[in-house]
Amino acid sequence: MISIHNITSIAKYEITTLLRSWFFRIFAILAMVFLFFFNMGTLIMDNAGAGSWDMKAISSVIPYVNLLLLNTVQAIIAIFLASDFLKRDKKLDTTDVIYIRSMSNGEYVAGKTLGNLVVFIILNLIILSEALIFNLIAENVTVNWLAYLEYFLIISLPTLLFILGLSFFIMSILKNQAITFILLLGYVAVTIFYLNTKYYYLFDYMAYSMPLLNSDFMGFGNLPTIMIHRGMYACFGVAFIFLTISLLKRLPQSPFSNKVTLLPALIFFAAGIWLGNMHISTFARNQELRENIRILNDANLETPRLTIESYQIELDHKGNTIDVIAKLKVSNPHPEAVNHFVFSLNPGLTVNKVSVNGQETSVKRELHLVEFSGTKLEPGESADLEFIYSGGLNEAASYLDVDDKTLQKAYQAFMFKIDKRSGIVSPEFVLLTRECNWYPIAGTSFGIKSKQWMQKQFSSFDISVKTKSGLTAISQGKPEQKDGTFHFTNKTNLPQISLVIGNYTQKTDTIDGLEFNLYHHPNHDYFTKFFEPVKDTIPDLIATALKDYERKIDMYYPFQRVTLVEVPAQFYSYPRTLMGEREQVQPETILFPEKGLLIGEADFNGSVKRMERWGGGGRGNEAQTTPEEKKVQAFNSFLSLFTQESGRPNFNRSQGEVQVEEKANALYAFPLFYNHAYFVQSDKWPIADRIFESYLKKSSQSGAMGWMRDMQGMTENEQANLALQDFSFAELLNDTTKAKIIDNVIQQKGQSLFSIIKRRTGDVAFDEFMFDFLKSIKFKVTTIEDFNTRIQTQFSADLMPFMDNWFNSKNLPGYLIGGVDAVNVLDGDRLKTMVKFKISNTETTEGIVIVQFRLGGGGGPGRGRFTMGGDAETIDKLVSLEGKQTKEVSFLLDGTPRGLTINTLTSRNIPSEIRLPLENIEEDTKATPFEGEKISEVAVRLAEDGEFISDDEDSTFKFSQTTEYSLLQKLLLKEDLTRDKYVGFNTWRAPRTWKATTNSSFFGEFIRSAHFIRSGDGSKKATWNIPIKGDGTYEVFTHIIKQNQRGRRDSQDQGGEYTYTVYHNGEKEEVIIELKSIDNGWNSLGSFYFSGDSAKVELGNKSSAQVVVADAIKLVSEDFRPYKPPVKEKEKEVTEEKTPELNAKKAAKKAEKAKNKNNKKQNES
Amino acid sequence: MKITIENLNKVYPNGNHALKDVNLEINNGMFGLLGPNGAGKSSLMRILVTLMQPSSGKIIMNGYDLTKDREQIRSMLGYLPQDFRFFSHLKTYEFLDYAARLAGMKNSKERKLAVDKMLEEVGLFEARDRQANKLSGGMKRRLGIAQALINEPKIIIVDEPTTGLDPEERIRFRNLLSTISTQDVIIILSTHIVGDISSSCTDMALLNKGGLAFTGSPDQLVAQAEGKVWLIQATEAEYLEINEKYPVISNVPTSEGWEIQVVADAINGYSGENIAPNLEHAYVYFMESNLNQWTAI
Repeated sequence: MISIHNITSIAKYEITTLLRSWFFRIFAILAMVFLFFFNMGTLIMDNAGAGSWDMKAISSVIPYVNLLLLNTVQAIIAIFLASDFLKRDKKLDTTDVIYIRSMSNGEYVAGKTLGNLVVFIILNLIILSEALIFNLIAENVTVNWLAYLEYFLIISLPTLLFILGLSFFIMSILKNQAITFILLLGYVAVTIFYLNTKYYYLFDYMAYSMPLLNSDFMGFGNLPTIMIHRGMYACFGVAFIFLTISLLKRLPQSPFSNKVTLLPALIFFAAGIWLGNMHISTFARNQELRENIRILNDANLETPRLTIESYQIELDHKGNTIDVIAKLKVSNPHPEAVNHFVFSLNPGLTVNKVSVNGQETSVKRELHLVEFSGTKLEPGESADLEFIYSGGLNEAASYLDVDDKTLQKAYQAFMFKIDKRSGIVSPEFVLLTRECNWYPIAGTSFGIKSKQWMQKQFSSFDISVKTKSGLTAISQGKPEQKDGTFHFTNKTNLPQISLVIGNYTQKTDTIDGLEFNLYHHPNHDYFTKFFEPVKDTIPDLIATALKDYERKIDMYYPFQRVTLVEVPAQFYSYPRTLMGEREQVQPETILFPEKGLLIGEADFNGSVKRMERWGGGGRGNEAQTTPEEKKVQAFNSFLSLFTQESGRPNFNRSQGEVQVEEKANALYAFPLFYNHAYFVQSDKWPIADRIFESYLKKSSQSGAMGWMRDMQGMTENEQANLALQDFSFAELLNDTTKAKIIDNVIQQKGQSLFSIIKRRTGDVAFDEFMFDFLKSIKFKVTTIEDFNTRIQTQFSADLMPFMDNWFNSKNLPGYLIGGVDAVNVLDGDRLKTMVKFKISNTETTEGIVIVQFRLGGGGGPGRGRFTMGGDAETIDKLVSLEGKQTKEVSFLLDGTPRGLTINTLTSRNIPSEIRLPLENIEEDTKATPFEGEKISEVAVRLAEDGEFISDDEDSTFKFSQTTEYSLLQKLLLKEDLTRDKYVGFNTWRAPRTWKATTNSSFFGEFIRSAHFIRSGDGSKKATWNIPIKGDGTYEVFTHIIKQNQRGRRDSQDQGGEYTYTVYHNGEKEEVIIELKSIDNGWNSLGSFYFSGDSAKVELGNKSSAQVVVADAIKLVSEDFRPYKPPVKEKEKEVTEEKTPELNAKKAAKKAEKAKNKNNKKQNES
Repeated sequence: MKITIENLNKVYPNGNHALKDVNLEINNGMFGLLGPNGAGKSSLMRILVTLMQPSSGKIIMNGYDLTKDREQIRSMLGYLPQDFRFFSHLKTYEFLDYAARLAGMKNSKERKLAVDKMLEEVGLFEARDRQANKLSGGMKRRLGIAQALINEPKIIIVDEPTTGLDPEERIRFRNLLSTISTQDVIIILSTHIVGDISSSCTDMALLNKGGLAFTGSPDQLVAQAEGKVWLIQATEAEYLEINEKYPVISNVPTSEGWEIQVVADAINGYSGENIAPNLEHAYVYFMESNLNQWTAI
């Protein structure tokens, strides 16, 4: 008989002993103090006193994160304490007097384990109480009491059982605490840093990376997986404890008892392995299923696809399953008869019966396919089908186009992980989208070759839903509720529908004839009271935001209603290459993540608090903003969430450097306007629809990402351009390694295609055409051929001949810009600013650039001929250039522009956005106001006659390359060594070797780059070998820009000097340039006599500045200007070398001054 | 109460034959186990308290087989090991309470009374709230005996209990054991301090090199040394000579030279007189004559 008395006795004194050990006390106190500050910070202080929204939005996150942090450390401390007990036993003779007592080894080990466990449970309770106190005192957050228990049982308990058992066991075998400790720490490190997410977190014994978010709608998103995983570790832990019993160095009570404990050890091991296997096999099975489905889809490539005219769906929600009767009216759109019908349906659903025109037919169900034949459908003929099916969902069949790596990537938020669900069928909650394939869809789903899956069909949907009382069903269409059945009817055809069933509270209003619905969790109304003071203005705000957006994209909202449905945080969608929409945005519906978790804009209270503390909203003096205005601003910023294409960027830290990844906004409402109402089909160019989408989005990069560029080196648009120089569009679409930039590639290519069209049609005419075209194809499928026919009819232009080249060519336009000048002129009686420049497209491919003016204070929105409807503070104009064409363009602006940005879109230019500041604009009374463009015969030149330039992009530029990486660095920094060619310009963490970086202000042909390096001893040199023609005297110029010109305000960079060495005629001479006195652009190093083919100039990295930048060197032959005074020469030089911000005369004077200074220095030396 | 040991052998994995065919019967009362270091005393003790498995042989304790019925045997045991110094973060009374719990005292009220009583008996009541680790050497020993005696064990095994105790404590300790030994218990006292045995044990055994050299009462051992202990008045030169030939038990310097006690069958050529032997003399004589060991010691 097991003596509970003995076990508790041992446990009691083990607890006493452990609680008195300093090791444990210090750990406990540190944990408490750390978590005190953590909770204080995240729940109370953060976010201007509103607390972190990530922590507070869903209240279960509080115990989750607290235990996650504690558990990571206690998993290590437990190793120490557990291995300590056997060590203590070994050392002390005192143990003998315990060992001779009448108790079994099992009771002894059980007592010790229990003691260790209880001590940690006590600590967990303390930490949870601490978290609970903060949870209670923090504002605007509820308490999820059950979550406190759940997370303890899921996170802490199995971890402790496992690590205690493992430590006991290893210690029993090794009998050396130090080795045990090191070994187990190694194990912990490997599980955290290496095995981590492998096999869906199989090795994550402390549940550090496992997604464990507990939704208020449906609890854990992956409860069976969690139970299996945690159960496995608990089993292994218990097994190890039993093994420890049989390994205990004490004579057992009865001669056989040591062997007896081996049996439960084995049983628990077997159970652990069984659970582990279950865990892995679920994922292996899913992977296999996905692969098989893809293969099957490709095998059915040739099967003709029917058109589904209408759906009539009756769905009965029964706990974890759904029973569905789907009546479909199908027709044959093909020119030949079809007698083999193929439909896709989620493989988790069992098809019970299929009838064709009322006749039951035999069906072949293979994976997700439902196939049947026997009925012949002539071209144009239609048939009535009925599918009766039931079951649950197999989510593995969703997102077949998404690769495994992306699929397995953790959905991380702040410090916790969220499970990714594509569809849900549970007793309390149902969420079904087209991606789940919960109703039959004609044809196959995704295959490597098959593109059928993304071709949309518009059908008429009618759905009725039965569910248990208390739950509400939400779908597309006009809702009616009768006898517990929800019925939805649609007036227009839709490409897809979704269904949500859950416990919801509905809020509804009609604004401007549109019906707005909001469905939220009954406990998630944190906004009504908050917006009470401004509730009357809310409809106006919504209407305005909608109108503004409609105006921006020049399209009308196509549906009768807008429905915002709050769905569990676990609902996840992947961005995809060939489809623009995300599953969050369904026809007339946006599925909004639970309480706006991870969406800062949903943190209304935080928004207002931030405004109170730091100002914001950009509307002038904060003191004058009333609380109501702040609330209005908070609401507007929430609305803007749906009208912004890019989401909050991802920040990663790798090797101490911040990496920024541009991220799409899954809630961007654009698909409501385009993707769910229109579809442009093309079998040859399946990307056509996305091209239209991208054009209509009008998402030209607006320069908001400038700061990201500084960190990253290149924007994703530029990376796309770089990729397009080496690969054709067709190649890039099939290259999964380029997935990150594919959206940008599509955007760039879309812009360039439409610029081709627009050049033939004219802008305004095309916009009008497009408006009519879209109107005529709304809720219908159209083809690219159809589009082309209409273009042909209206404009006599045929697009098709260009398409192949556009799709397959690798040629891009490349632009040179020169002679930028801005003056104030009198246009009639109004003073306007005239900005002129010359632009050449030196390549053979035609292209288009967007010229954007940033207006400084007071400038209203300008309305020019080319206005694209930019924001209030910017004016966008288009300039198109044919291959090898040069234009002189001039713009008249009502306001004073601060700067000029030329966005070169798809081009060879890097930076693709060339930003040119416009400063010191003076009045020129003689200038004639003019707006327009003139074709010029003289292209923009980089170097005039007699000028010889070596840029750091040229082969004449060399820099000392030192392989400074040790073997270890190579192993660890692999990623770093193979990074993009152009890095971010970072003065405080500058590279130790010469690295290229790009910036508008640098000199260059298409690539405006410079090399830079951390200052050092001068041994790392950059060398220009400038080719010259003929011996003679040349003046040497170096291209330098002031650090603050790059938007950096740290004045540290102002000081310092660069040391150039000029090799001339067998001699060398050092020229020191003081950075304080330089001018932006070309600075003279003095005149020298050169002989031979080339002149050599060197720049070392010795400087008191933080970094040394090597850009370009120019030699100007003295022979070419004996007749001209030098001042004038420089004036020309400045105006032609893209430093238009400088007043030419001033620049020349300065250059002269610098030259004199340098000459003086040379004389001194 | 009765312990029967039959043909007990213990061979360690390193080949050390620690116990060789030990046959012994121990009855109620105090039993002394005497022998030089390494004689096998500790091995025997550890086997008796179920800390170690014998290689062969049989031990029956009060009708229970030591290798099979450990549960019953352990519940009869009280044990004080030789090196009893380290405690982990427990107070004096806590440690005793812990021992009492494991000794089977489930009722907390009774246990509390028993613990307090025992603390008083061993003179630790005042120190009950002190950390056991911080007690003095003597107090630790007393705590050791207290835990061995808690819950009235039938078999008490104490290994070198008086080492490190001052004389007063030693006497108190002996008396305590003597008092208990009058009840129906067996106390086995392992020691190399002969005085401990002479003053309290009714029976004893002498272990040497793993074998049993003598069993019987202390008086029987003393009787064997009758007429073999000599008191000699010797000069400096003689003392040196005698020391070479015979085991000298004591030497007291006098005005003429030395007064020495030797153990020998005869002292040829020296003038001396026979004196009454005590247990210490008997132990030395026994080791010297029967085993020719003394000089080695």
